[in-house]
Amino acid sequence: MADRRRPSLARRLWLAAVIFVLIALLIAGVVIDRTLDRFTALQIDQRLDAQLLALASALTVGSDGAVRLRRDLDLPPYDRALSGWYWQVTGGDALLRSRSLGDATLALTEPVKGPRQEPLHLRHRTVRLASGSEPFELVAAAPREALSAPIRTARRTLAITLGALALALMGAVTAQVFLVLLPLRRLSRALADVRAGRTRSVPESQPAEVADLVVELNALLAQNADQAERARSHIGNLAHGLKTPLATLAAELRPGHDVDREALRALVEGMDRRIAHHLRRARSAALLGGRHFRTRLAPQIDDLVLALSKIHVDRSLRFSVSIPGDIELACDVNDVNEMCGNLLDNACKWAASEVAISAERLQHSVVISVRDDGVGISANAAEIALSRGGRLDEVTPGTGFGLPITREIAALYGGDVSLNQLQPGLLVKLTLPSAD
Amino acid sequence: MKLLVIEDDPALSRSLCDALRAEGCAVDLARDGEDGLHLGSTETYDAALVDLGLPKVDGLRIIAEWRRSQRQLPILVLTARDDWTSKVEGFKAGADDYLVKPVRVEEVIMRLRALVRRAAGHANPEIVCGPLRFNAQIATFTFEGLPLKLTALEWRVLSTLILRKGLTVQRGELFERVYEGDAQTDSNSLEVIVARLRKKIGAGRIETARGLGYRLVCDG
Repeated sequence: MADRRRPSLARRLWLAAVIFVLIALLIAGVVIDRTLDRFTALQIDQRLDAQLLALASALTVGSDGAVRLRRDLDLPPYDRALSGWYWQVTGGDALLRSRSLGDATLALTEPVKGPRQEPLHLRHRTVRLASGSEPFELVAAAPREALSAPIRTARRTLAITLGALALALMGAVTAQVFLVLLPLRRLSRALADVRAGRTRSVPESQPAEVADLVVELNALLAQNADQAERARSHIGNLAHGLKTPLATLAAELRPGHDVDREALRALVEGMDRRIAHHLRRARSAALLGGRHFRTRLAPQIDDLVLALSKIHVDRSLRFSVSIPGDIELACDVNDVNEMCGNLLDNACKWAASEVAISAERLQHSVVISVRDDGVGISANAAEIALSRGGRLDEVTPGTGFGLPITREIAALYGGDVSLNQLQPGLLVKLTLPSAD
Repeated sequence: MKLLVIEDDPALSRSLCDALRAEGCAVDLARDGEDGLHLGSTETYDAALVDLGLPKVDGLRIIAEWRRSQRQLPILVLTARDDWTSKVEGFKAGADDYLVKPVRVEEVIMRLRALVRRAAGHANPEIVCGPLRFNAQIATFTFEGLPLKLTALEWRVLSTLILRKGLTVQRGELFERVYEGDAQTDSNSLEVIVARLRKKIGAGRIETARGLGYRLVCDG
């Protein structure tokens, strides 16, 4: 079952998308609002400026020296009493004003308020009728409400629109997350089918993004099945190999029968060798399976020679080692030790005075040669020694040659072991894949 | 010949110790790595038999520790780990030989004898000292061509002396190589054993180096 504490992929995707959508909509809202604000203010200003311009051009000094307007400029809404739209001209003793202002005067101190105490938006202008004459202060005012009312309406519409957009986008994100994760859900169902034994592999017709994953999964499944099969066959071989000596043991131990201790001991040792052989092979087989290894040969051989010179100290054998330092095998280090250790140990057992180890790199493989100067074995015996590894159920390990297990491990890597009779001695060649 | 056995399995350690004692050896047994490391670092032994998988201190660490502190005693590793990588690790740590369980006790005894002989500098299994001959492989003495009957203690003293023939073996060292760690002995017992040996192989064969120890004389 899914662990609830683990972060959900869908939730993470959804949260990220929603946060981005909300931030984007917020920024858009602020920018649109500011633009509307400026646009409305500009409209009002233009209207007031037009009134100021009309006032300036109509302003004149009559023959009586009184300042007046050449024509009536109290067009609507300047003619309606207390409409909020006002104009006023001041300068010297003169005071001209719109009908809407009545008897009131606009006090030009901030915040400017009208006769009804309503907040006003002002534009003003200074005009001289002749150069050097007294300046006149022209003022046109609009109610602030004329600015804010349309913006309020626009904001409401904007908020509703952006809200709807946000909802639509979140819906889209939800649908997208669901669609994107759908193949993963299908994959998990397919895997459950494999586990339940309904199918053997995951269907490979998958979206490009998960296709590689499916190929890897199927390879892993195949490898598991293969290993399970190998393990089954090994257990079968082991059981088969143990039952015969066990039956003999039981027969030897039957009541009223004189026990042959030596025979029993030999049986126990035989069973031990068989168990050791199968365990060793199982260890190597368990490690393998598409994994890549890289083991430098020279240090391993040096260590093995150190061990073998101690094991066979009484033989005073000479070891001659010639392994290029850069030779690397595509094998696990323990398997290299196991194969080379067995071959070298054999050579030490049979050698008269010298064991020679060399290695040579071919195109994609390395050939390790172990030569001793002992009695060697006949071509016939060599065939038997090698063929024992051929069929697992006939394997008889520990017969003095460490060859069967070496050959089986080598075969797991696609390598091989061959024997060549020398005069005198024996040459064993172990071929393994090179790591380059 | 005195041996240190470090083995935690009660049944195996009992049968090993019984068999080794039956062969005339003095045996000290340690049931865990800590005891074993301590005994091997402080007492004198002709060889040690070390299991690798031990409680408290691992066998490989014990061996490495002894070698680091210049303990030269021969070491036979006895373990269930039968792969070459483990063997190489054992030898690199400083082991002299390696046996994989299950083993025949005779094999253990033979390997230990060979280790002790080689450590004393004898390449040949037969060590000759005048009319006295010691076959280190089967651990028996002949004197003037006839088998020499010896008690376990006499055998231990004489084998210690013949492995170092011509050299003076200090009393303390001889004492340590003959008696087990927990043995109840008085200091005169060694003289008694040497006196008995002199009766069997001739008084002149074992020289007393006054205040120092004993020497096996081979010439003449």
